[in-house]
Amino acid sequence: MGRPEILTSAALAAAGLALALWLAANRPPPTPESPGAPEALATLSPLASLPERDLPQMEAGAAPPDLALGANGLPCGPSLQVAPERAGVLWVTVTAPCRAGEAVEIVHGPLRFTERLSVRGALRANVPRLTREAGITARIGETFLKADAAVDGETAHVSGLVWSPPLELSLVALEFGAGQGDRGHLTAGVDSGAGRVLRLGEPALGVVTDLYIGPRTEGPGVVRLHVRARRTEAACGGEQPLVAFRTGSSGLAVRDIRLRLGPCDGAPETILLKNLLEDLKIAGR
Amino acid sequence: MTLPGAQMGSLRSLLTAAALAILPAPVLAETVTLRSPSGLAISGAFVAYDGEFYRIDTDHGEVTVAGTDLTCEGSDCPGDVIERLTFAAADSSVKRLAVALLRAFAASQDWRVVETHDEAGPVEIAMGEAPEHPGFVVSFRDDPAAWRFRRDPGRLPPTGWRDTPVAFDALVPAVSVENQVTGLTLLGVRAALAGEFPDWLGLGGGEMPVIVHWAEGLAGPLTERYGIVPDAAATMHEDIGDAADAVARTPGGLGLLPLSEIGSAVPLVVTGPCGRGAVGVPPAIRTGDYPLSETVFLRHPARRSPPLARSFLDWLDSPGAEAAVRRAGFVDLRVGIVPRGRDGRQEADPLALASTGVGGIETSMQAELGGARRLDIAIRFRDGSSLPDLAARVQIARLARAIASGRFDGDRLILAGFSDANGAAATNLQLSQRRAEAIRAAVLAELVTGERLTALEARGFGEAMPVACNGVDWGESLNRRVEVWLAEDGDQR
Repeated sequence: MGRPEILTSAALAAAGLALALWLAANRPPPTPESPGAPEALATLSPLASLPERDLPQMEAGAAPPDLALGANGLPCGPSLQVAPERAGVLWVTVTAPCRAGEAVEIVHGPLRFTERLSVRGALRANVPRLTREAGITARIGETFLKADAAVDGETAHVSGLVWSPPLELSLVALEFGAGQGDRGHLTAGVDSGAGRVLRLGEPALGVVTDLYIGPRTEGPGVVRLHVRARRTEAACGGEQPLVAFRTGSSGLAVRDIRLRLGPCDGAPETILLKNLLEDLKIAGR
Repeated sequence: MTLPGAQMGSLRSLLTAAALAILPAPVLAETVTLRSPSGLAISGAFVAYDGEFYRIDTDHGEVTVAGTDLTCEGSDCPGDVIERLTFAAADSSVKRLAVALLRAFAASQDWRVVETHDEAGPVEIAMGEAPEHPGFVVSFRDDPAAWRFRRDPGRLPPTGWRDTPVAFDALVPAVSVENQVTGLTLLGVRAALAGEFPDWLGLGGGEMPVIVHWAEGLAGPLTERYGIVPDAAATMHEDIGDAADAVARTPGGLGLLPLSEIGSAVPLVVTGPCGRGAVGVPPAIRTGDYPLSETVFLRHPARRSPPLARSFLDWLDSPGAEAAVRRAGFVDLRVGIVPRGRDGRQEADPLALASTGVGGIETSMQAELGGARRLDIAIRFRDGSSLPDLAARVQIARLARAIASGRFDGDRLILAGFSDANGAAATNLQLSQRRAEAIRAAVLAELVTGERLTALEARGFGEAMPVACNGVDWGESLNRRVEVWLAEDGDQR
């Protein structure tokens, strides 16, 4: 594809209108997939964030609606919705029925990850909100979608690591003095602590963000954040770029890092990097 | 900052190589011309440029010219100059502080930072306007020329080097949150760390074993500075953070840790045999009333440093640096007013503690200091002496800087001298007065006349109001001091 396919709000609004007519004519509307309240949903506005009230005016001179439908009878037009899920967390939904199985990259400030759209062409993810203006971009091939959800309330304590192959990293959190195997020793998918470690993205597809989201109700104390790295043949010897970020009282801090994984001297091994991420100080209730 | 350094350099060497290939005769060094805005010019063979000064070889010999505002013409003119500096750090905690300071310095200049890490941690911090063109690169390497972050060096730096104080820290005995013990005597700390107490019963706690955790980098300096010898049965951890975590999760755990690395462990009050003492909170660490307080210094060459290194040194004195110090878990050098009742001392009201039999002194002290507020500065002395030592110089400099900043203009500061309880009360009274006067003179010597808008009064109160127990050496050395109080007639701040 030579030029990025830029979707105008007008085209999307028109497509939405066409969908509504089509649904009314054929069957009762399906249950919304997003649990967010409809009025809380962010306005879809690819690449430019336009005020909601501009939409009807745009509609008048809009191009003919794109009525192409995906395999399940849903319109192709990709959409991105962002809604506050709970304190500090955003519920991100990408729907692109005609792009099922394709890779989608989600970007929110320094946080970025690549995932595959499901067989229905959907992606749903919980993404921690890093700034008050929760601008989120999704990219499917050369189609860019952008949405904003300005939400009040505090952001959670979040520390993240953004990387891509040939690096093979994972995050380890040790909460409030926890040792190996204790409650509070967290890795992605282990849900036995005050906060949680989670992975966004699929390394085989590109960029991954590993995150620690701190607790709101425990502390005071310190959460140590360590990074486990596999010294693979592809990553050893040179310097691999990655990005670390954290939220804090002084806002979002982003660090560009180059990681040296030592010489290539045989079998891959796993090493623990204790000083890559800063410890998180939790003030407590 | 963003001149195309690397590319220009390689282009230049290519051109030079081409010239060499074409010209049969030997090539002389290129002449460069330095031109000032007013049109003055000087020409010669380029020798060096350190980012601030040009050295060129003219017909009249080699000259050094300040490069500010000069334009350099000629193919040998330097492109983008990357200033490089090497840092070394005494331990992992101090290194963390150094990195935090570098990051904050870069942020203060609106520069982008690229950190290079290896398996052990940061090895290089590069900063500049664009990540691909850093102007200032600091490497962490232990070489003789390195600028060195270190805890209390104990003696003056060797010739050619200067120690600039950067932060305060303290060693604190720490336990798990489940331990009921809230304080230990310094003797108790020493004995427990040496493995002399099998359980906490003998230390005022519950029936659980004392389990000592140490970190590799700590044991040596502790033995050297405080005569503390770790129990051979203690668990040794690779880094300080691991030791702190082990203390935090072990119900009977005990460690002596830098406050900056205490993590989730809980600090204890340190007392003397008479029960008087302090907990390692910032005011008590700044004043040194807490017995295991220490200062972190940056040892750097005394001679003029390259421009960016020098602006880093200047920046260390700024509020931005203070904030970075606090974020790193250290105590900043800023002069503050000690909040009443939260000075870290065991006693709620220090003025109620005037405990000697010299009644007249107590009365005069109440009159002088009763409504005054204490600053978190104190200067200490060796036995019988009124000469300040290295730590005292840091405190004198803090006070002088605060006065020079104009913060206490129009105010009256009382330098309150105290002694230990050895010797006759009358002698101690005189000694404490001499101490206060010596510090007054030392502070005034650091100020230019125009800055003397603050009234400085020297008062001696002898052995009144001890902060620690007389009868033990460390307590007496803490009691030999000059405190600084802001008189009540000063502005309310």
